[in-house]
Amino acid sequence: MLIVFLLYSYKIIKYYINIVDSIVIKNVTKKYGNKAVLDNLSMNIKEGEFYCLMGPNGSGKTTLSSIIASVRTQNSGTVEIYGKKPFMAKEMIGYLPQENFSDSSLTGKENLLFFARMLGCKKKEALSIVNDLIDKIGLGEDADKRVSKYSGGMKKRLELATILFPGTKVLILDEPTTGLDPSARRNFFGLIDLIKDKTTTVILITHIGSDAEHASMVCLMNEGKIIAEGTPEQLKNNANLNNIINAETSVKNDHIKEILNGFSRGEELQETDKGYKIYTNETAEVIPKIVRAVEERGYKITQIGSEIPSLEDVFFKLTGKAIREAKK
Amino acid sequence: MNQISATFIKGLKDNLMSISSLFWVIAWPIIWLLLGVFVFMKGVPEAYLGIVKGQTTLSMVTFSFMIAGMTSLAATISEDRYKGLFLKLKSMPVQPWKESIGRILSVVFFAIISVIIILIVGISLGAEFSFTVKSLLKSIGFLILGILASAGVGLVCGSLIKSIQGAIMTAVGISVITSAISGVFFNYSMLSKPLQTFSRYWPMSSTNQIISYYLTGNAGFDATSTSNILLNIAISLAFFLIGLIIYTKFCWKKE
Repeated sequence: MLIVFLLYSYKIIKYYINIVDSIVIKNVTKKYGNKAVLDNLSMNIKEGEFYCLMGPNGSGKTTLSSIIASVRTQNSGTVEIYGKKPFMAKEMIGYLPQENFSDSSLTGKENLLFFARMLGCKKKEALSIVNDLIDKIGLGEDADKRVSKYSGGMKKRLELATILFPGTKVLILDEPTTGLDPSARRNFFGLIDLIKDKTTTVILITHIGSDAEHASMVCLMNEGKIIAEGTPEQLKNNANLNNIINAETSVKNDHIKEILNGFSRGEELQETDKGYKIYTNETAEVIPKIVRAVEERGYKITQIGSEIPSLEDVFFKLTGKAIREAKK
Repeated sequence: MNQISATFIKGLKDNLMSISSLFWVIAWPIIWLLLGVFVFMKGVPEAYLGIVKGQTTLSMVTFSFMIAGMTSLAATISEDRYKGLFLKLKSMPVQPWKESIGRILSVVFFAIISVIIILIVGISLGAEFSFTVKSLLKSIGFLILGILASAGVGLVCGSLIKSIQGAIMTAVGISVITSAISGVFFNYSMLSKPLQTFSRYWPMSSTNQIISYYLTGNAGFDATSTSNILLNIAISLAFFLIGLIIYTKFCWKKE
């Protein structure tokens, strides 16, 4: 009796653990040649979580996501999806690669029918599922148009539908908003909120801080390693960042950099595409001072404003590199 | 079965909706057929005209299925690789062999459609054939074998050459040049000795000669001898299998 009881208890505990962690990654290393793209990486992702892997190009986030999606294999370590190896759990995985993979010479509906049938659905069943999906992603009127006529946002929504077939429990979205305008990005995340339920785990891969803010948990990656993990708020609080002043200048040189650095508190100022980011909590008082100081030296501020710190600033604080430059 | 038919339907639609595919596989051989009939057959005696037109039609049939197998397949594979479709399919519970069969069947079917259209055009221009039911069935068998051999070359080009344009141009180059030097465009007797040898070993030109013998009673060499038939079957299947192996190795292998 005792043995039976222990066995049942073990099964129940194991089942409970499996529910809690949809994905378990242990000591995963992936090398290309001699270079380790993933370096002994471990993480657990809970069922129902909206988990974001954020990092610059080359940080290993796409490699990790493709290992989870069973597209690549690791050199060492283990990956389990609900206790199964990725290639045994393909029915549960919906992988949205970075590239637009839909066939532009076919209609949206024909594309979805292709993927439905590749998943093993019979013709009638496939048609019924595809009609539901088209409604879900709001492509109703355009479903019979060729994909070549679609906008970038519509293509992304169509491709998102390819990972929403019944039975999918883990959605992997690799840089889904790349190339989309702000409105299409908003629509895309609106759609994710709509389709996500308590048992669906979403893994978002991005290097855009504002996209990562949608997640319930964010993992910052750099050079194949995890450098921080937590909710967006936790990461920002732990980083203890000041507020930010964004200053765009007529020219960028060491002299201006030196002037502005004098106003940055706690962190070094960060160079951006058009100017600099200055870290300070007294933004209202400092802005006029910055403008005066720069103009006194004969330069010009073309635009200036303040913002609260983002996850990209957290990454900068932790690595000393801007997320878009970290690979350099 | 669902995966085979899904890939088959997608592949066939891709080909039938691609203007460049339709041009190279159907229109281009027909243009050459028209040129052959109206420009290059001026001096042919009336008694042989029908048979010569028949042989020219069969040459264009061969050229058409070569372009279909080599170029269309290379184009769709390299495009799907470029787009990342294989990444997507690898993440799904898809059997690579089913996808491969569907993809190849779509090309075989597309090539058969083009062959039928070219034969209709040829017959309407006065092409004559003389065959029995048995020889017709045999020639259909060798036609399919020839398409598979061409598909083998297309699988290799699409799998090994990353750029879409590069894959297409290479496949077009191989089909046009080999057609020219192996006696598909010219009479076998006009070829030099080394090219005659090449013509016997190159499965597409050998198929052309075999079909020509079965349907018109003429061939450049002893195309239907047992040794040549066995050689043709062996080389055609080898081309196809090599293509299939390279395709699964390069397009479906996990990195």
